Amino acid sequence: MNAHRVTAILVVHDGATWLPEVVAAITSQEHSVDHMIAVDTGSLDSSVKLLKGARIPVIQMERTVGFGEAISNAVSSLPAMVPGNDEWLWILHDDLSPARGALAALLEALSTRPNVVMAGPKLLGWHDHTHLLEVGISIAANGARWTGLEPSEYDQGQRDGIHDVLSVSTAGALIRRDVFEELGGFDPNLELFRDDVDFGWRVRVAGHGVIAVTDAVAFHAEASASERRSVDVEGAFLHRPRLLDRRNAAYVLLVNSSWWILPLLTLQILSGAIFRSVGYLFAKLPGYAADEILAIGTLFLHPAELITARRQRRKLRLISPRVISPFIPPRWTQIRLSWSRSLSWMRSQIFPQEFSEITDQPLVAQSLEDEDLLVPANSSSWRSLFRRPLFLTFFLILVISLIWARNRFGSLSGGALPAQLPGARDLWQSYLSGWHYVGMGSSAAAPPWIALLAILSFLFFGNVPLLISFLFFITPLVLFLTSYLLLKRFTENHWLASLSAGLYAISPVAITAINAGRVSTVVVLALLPILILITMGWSHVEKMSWRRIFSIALLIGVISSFSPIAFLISVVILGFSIYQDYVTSHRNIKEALFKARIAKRLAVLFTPLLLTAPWSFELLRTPRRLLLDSGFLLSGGGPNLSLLGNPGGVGALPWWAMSPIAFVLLISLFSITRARVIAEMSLVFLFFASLLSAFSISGHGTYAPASLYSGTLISCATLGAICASVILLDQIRERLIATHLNFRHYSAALLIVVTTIYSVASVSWIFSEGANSPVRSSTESVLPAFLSVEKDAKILVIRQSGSISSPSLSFYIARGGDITLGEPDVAPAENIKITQAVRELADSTGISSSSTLAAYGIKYLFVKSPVAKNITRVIDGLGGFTRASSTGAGIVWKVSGISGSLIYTDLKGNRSLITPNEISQALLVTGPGTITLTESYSRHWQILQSGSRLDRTKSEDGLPVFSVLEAGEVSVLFDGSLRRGWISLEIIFLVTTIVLALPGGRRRREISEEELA
Amino acid sequence: MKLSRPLGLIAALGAVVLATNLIHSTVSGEKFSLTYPPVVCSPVPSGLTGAVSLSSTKMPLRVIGSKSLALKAAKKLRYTQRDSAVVIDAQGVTPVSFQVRLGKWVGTSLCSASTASQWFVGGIADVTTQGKLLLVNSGLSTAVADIEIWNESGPELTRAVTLKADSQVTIGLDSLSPGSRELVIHVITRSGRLSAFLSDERGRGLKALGGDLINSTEAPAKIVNIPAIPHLVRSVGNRKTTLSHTLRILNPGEFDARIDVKVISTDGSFIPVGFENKSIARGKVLALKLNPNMAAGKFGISISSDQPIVAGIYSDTYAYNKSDFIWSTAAPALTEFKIAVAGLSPQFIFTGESVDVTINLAYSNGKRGVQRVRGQDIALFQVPEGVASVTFSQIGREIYAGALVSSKSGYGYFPLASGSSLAKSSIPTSNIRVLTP
Repeated sequence: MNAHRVTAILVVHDGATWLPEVVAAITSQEHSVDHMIAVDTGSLDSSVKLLKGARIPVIQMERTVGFGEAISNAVSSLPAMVPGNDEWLWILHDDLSPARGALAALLEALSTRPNVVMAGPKLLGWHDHTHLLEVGISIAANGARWTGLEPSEYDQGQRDGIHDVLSVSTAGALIRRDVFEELGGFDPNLELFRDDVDFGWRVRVAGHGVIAVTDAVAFHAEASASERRSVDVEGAFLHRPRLLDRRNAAYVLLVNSSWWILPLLTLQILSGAIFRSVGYLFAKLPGYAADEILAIGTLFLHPAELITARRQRRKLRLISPRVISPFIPPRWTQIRLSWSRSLSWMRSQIFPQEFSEITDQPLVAQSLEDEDLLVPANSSSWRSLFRRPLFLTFFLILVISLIWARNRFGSLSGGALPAQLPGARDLWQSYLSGWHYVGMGSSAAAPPWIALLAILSFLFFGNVPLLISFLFFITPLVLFLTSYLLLKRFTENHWLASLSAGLYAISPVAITAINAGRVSTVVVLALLPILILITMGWSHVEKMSWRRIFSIALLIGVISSFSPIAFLISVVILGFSIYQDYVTSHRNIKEALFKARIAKRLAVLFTPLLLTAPWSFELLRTPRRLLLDSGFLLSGGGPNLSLLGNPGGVGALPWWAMSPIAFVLLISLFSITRARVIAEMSLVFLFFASLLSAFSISGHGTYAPASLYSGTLISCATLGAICASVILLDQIRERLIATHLNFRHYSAALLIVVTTIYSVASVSWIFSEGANSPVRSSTESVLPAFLSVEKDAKILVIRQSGSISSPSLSFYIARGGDITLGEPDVAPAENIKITQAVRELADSTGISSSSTLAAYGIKYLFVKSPVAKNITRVIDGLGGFTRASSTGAGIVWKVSGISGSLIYTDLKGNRSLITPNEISQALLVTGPGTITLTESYSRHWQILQSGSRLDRTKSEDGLPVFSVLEAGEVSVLFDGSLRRGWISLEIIFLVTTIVLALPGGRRRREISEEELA
Repeated sequence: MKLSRPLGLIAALGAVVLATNLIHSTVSGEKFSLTYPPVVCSPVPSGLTGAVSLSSTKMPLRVIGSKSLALKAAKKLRYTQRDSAVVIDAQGVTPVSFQVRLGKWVGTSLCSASTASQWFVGGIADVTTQGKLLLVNSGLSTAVADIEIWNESGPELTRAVTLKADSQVTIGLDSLSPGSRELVIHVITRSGRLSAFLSDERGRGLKALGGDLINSTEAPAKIVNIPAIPHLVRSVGNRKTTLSHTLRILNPGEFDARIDVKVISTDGSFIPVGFENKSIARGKVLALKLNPNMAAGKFGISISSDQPIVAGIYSDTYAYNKSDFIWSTAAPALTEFKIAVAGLSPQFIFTGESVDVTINLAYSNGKRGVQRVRGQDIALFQVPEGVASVTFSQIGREIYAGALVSSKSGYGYFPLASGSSLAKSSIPTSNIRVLTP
């Protein structure tokens, strides 16, 4: 021990805050330092004065001098080494306070390990001495500083011992002087941050050892890293600590790693920087985002620096670089840690109380109760889960879902849900495309929910059928959980909240939505409780943060993209709120309160419109579409059923399974609690639902009027009724006991009886009839396989439906396959001429039907089985149709005449089909004339010949016709620039709104020291 | 006052219920069109003269195979046919086709719309036959039909026939089933707008044995009513001979049938000896002699069977020193309809437990008349001369009727049934949901 000579080097930079304690700690070491020297790098505070007061020699340097240079200066000022002595440099920061035995413990560990030339103490928090900061450090492959510790890890001695590490922090590091000098000290390119890892790395490859000694303890304030002081070193571009940290991290990796790994490393550093900067942007920390990019930029701008540094390291490297690989954390460990942190965060966000309920109870029980070793441990604790209302109700809903969904495992279709697209790529294509090959073709903007589904499908590896199947299976559980989160706000009774949330999950509107494949209502039901949660306090909107305002807007945008009637509802509510603000502001729009409110209310009004543009603008142009939900248009159940809270239609609960919704709302009207206000609002929703259900509507490719389905309005009423009932029943037991028999007793009893009857009836129906819902897994296809081969052929499909006594005929133009997800929403308007031709076909007067159909490029006529004999005889007899096949699937006729996607008419009026050349696939016209494109007219259709556009007109049939002036090759294209432009704008709006809605990240300097500790 | 808001809302609820139910007038998504399909009248085999009775001179029609597809007004109440079939846009009126080989025989058949299935009970394919199956494709696309034939031995091989658009084909019965004496023919339309007609003409050498047009029925049934059968007595010197009847019957099903044949006549209703619980073997055409002992007149029969059957009655006739025969075929229950009988003045025979039919007569000179026919079991009504069309209305339950036409050349029969019933067809609507399984 006596052979060790220790020189303490204290580097100071505006450290007056911590310096008194630091100096005291150093001077009171059990093993006193032999020599002490301080280096002040231009402190502006009283640091130098304090040091001098403590009689510590101070070397004063410029403010821009880096940490490494400061140490080098100090070392060079030391007397020459005494041969035979082990001379040690104890590197100390001005915010590091070593415990009394720190130095002694370090030296003791070193005394038995001659190969170790660098040792560091266990670093604990400055404020919280149980907060474990570091026990040695390393660097992850992405440049992150790696301590291997949990965040805010509590020091219980669990990491104690002497550990071989890649490096230790410079704060408190004891380094053998000869090795320090031999390796050239800290890299001058690393003026601050990562110099420790770099030095440790170099020590390791030079054949020495580095250890962390936990018997040695030091308390570190991490003032620079936590941005408690400015970074003024010369190389710190813009004086930003993060920038310097990221730059140095990349530098350390690039100069120390083996050459063959450099390309991959460079790529990783670049992509990591981009990802992190995007993440910081979303966290509204643009400065940090810029740091990430600038750090890499400044490094790559000086490649000579990297080359020189690598050359120097190569000279001093004595053993294989692989020696450090055990200290580099595996990627899997990093992923696992990130995943674990994310899950923990999500769980704590979703179930803050439940989370504490689960974790705290055993702790409390264990700590408060005397441990009786004679009592056997309770091994059946899982049973206690079933005594917990949340878990029990969740489990029951899960069982109901499993039985209910027995016919829905697989690719779903039916009801309002079209057949599934196979992959996310198809969904994206459908969303991004400017032209949709549906019916006669459409340039309508695809609704944004297609993109949302495409994004969600990434969770299922792009498998859209799996996503939809999972969505419908999980819906009752999601409805239960989201409504539970809301209902907990109204009661502390977990049983009441759980059972009411369960009732919401099997409410008539939920059952109808799932059975009828109404994705829109499913989404509304799932997000509505969340929307209500975040809009609580809406009447005092001025107190809401902008973040919450944009969260509300974002949520309304998402809901509206599935169910556009949500736009209307929000407009009405906002209009009403603005009017109330006006009244509250004494009808003075210049009043501060009014101004404060109007800005936020208008943001909620207009942001969803912009988020869903241009689709939303198209809705405003045709307001009727605001009443149509996504998917196929299906009839609702009419006004009377709607008043009972049942939207009706296919897949709906029968009328006899009457829900208590209307009953609850009526009872709540007489309440004196806030249930009354909720009931009044809900009744308004119910009234409007009933009123709208009385009207009929057509659209989304269905032109037979259908009773309007008011699922969204009924969803609002249902949730309102359940909230009102929770408020009514909360603590009712105590109230009823305390009062004489009165109407409350009767109404409560009646409510419970009606609810119980409904629950039993609805669940029984779900188990029996409900499982045979219109939506089910299916691999069938309407078109026979041989018709699906010609992808570009238009096929008029006629199908009989309805009862045998009163069959009805429907038709549509198929484009090589069944209708898939999203296509009904962009279906073009009805083509009157085609409709007329089909009608004439059916009533046997359509002598010209075939020529009309041929003019629109319809090649085949397919009457799907079961075939009405009458219509087949008529088609057979009319002429213009040649039977192509008659199979079990139906009968196919080929439409006579020239029919195809491009029809050329020469100047004499002769028509011919333009088909691609078999070899070159080129489209050739033989002379001047016209080309008719058998798609709906759009000004974005273009035909190019010799690089110039052909003149386009609209034919009497509503088709684009192009004038050809000479023979030659032509090419047809749809110019989707406008669509692409809109999508770019939409992305900008969306990203901006998400950034504004997300919780903002805090800069480290904004975090209190206690929190950091 | 505290209750004013809730009570107000409840009142609003009542108002909403009322208003929505008023608004929600039953909206049916379905729309239907009601049309009468055009009817087709039988082609006229060579050597015969044909005429179609129409109810109006303005009735539009066209001749099969003509250059123009346009329909033109008939201009006459009896449209004289050449050899080709005629398509008539009769708008619910059933024209009657009358064909005659002058001095030899007469036949009448209903002009009817194309149906998917036509059963003909009658005809012969032995050496005496000059009978023909006449197929007409009134559509503008190719038509395909299957011809199923049964005879006394059982079923024959099915033949498929293809007809070009707007054309007709004549097939000799001797080529369909050579040598057969008892024929039942079933024409099944596979595609196209096809109508079939059957003429049964017989002769031995140069001697004409008579002929008739055989009306078709749509499907086998367990109750078959043949309402109009002439029962004639031929006087040869002082001796009077009752002319015979033959019941031709086919059980096309899988099992043997048991039948009861009831004769309905002005002498009363009875089951002749041997016709009670009679077994009919499946798949073979049977000819049963039916010689009820009764006075000359008209009668009908009602056959009840435990299996679906088809049946017709062959009756010898004799008039103006000429022998002829007539095929009386099954008639469906009488419904309200209008039939054109210009120039025919037929005799209607109604059968049923309680006959009660109102007959509206429209004369060719524009006059109108109404007659009510009532009776038990059977009732007869002779259509006066000059009547262009007859409309049946206020018809009692389960009444069957046929008509007999007599002329110097012979007798003809047709069932009183609508040749084209009002077709209710759904007006197709554009609905994208047809493209989802």
